[in-house]
Amino acid sequence: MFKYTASEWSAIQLSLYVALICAVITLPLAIAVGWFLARKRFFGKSVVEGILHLPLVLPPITTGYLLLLVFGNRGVIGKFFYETFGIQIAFSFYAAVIAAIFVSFPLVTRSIRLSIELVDQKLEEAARTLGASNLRVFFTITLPLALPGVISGFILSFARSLGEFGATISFAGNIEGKTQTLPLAIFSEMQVPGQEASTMRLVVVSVILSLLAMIAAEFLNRRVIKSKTA
Amino acid sequence: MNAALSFHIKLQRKDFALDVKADIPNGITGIFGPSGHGKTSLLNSIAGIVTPDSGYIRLNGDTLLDSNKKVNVKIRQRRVGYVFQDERLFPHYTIRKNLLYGEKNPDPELFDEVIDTLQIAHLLNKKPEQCSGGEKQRAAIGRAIISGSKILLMDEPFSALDVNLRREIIPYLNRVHQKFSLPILIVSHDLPDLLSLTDNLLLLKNGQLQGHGKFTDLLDQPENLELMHQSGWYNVLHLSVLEYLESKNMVLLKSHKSNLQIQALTQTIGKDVEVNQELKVLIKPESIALSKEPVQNISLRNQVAGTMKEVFLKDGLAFCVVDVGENIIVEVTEASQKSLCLEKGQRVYCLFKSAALKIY
Repeated sequence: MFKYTASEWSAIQLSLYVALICAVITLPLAIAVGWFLARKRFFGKSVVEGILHLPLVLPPITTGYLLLLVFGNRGVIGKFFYETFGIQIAFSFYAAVIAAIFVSFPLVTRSIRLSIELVDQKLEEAARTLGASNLRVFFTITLPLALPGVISGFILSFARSLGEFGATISFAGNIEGKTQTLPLAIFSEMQVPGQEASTMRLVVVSVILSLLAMIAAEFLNRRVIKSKTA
Repeated sequence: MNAALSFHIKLQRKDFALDVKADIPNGITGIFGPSGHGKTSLLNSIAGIVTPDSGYIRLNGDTLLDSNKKVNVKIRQRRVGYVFQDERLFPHYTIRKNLLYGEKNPDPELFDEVIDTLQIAHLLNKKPEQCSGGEKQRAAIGRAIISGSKILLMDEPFSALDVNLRREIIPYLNRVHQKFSLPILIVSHDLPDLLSLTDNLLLLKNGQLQGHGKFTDLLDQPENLELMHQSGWYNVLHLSVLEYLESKNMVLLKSHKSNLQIQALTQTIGKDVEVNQELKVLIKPESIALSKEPVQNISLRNQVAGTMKEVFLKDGLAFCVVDVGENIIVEVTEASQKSLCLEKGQRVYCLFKSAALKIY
């Protein structure tokens, strides 16, 4: 029953690979945006927040379609890459990563923003009176104190990417070995009669990976709350 | 006056305006005033945390702010050591790392001197959460000094500490001032605590400077009396040990400036105080009685002659400023003042118990 076929392994590996790259790219962006939203006030902040959080509530297939419009060979960005570098983004491995980034970004930003908001600004103020530049304050005070939230954001991003389906299938397609991640493989297996065992094998991996990620994120969240209330 | 810090700070907020101009000499200066009257805003302006609407701030001749010349030195370049009410030690660093945050490679002699003066050597490898309130306060003072501050600003350093810890921190602050000759500006709404450290005061009320000078000189103004009376107050006398009266467990203290001599209990000053060492002697105005003649056959050890300088009446009380070589304030009831006919220019005797004295 638990003997995985080459294509199943390929889907599992691809999923992990996409999720990892997505988390690594999303993290610094989310830290920057999370800090900006936590610490700065500016005109139109609610609109910016609304746009940033849009992928959270949009049907993923809509996100995928919009990404296709922008990154497709005739889209604003896609056209530039295709004509200048000969790179086709849509229906490629890059598309799977981009789709994962877009859907997980608001989730990670929220987590990081919350943990930065919990860092006492008075400590940052104290650091400045001791001669620290804004950059030094960020790296020596804000970031270390928000670290559990940042790590939990990283895991969230990883977990969300593992589960990504709608945006990926519409923007990256369902190409075995190239863009067929775990959820897409499960979907494909479900379409074929007699593949219940294969579906179940993939479902088990999917549940275990997601569960591990959520346990880790919850553990770190508790540590944040504990450290703030200590 | 040789001012270490000069400023004129104007700040307008929704329902509050601050407009204070002063020259602060080197030494410990207390900023006193009721809560919400601009004390912390003043410190924040000096530190650069708040930018005043206009004015100037000069520290040891360096301009930190000058609205006319559009100079506004950044917080991190001001070298103003700020010891906050809530210490603000970095919780993820040890005390040693906290101390070295502002200056990674301080002069080793300075570092040793600071940890020795503040007695924090045993805390170096601890995290702030493992330290008591008083220890954290001392570490925060040390951090400000080691970071190369040219002035120390302290916002309500006593409010987070219980009564015993307050008494504990006071000698450290006196030592810090003596050893590092840093000007220190201390904000407090607690006059007795402030007076135990310094008698050079800046009185703030409604964002305005109401008085600035020695506590005893400020007593001349009725509005100052009113402001200070609200907080509870002490007379502060600078006296030194003249001799120990061993058989009586008493010590004789005298003033440098006048012939004033008083007797105190040896136990209140501790055994290790040497002859000629200067002490700060505090006594509450309500602990002093007045008489027009010396009183014979009385248990009180102190009868100090003086001249009545001013009498202010308020709420059934009479506040008498008596010159006994320096001004002291005596609080009696208006009824007593009337029956004794206590008036300006009269010779009076201030009577008080040795046990009523607090000595630092």
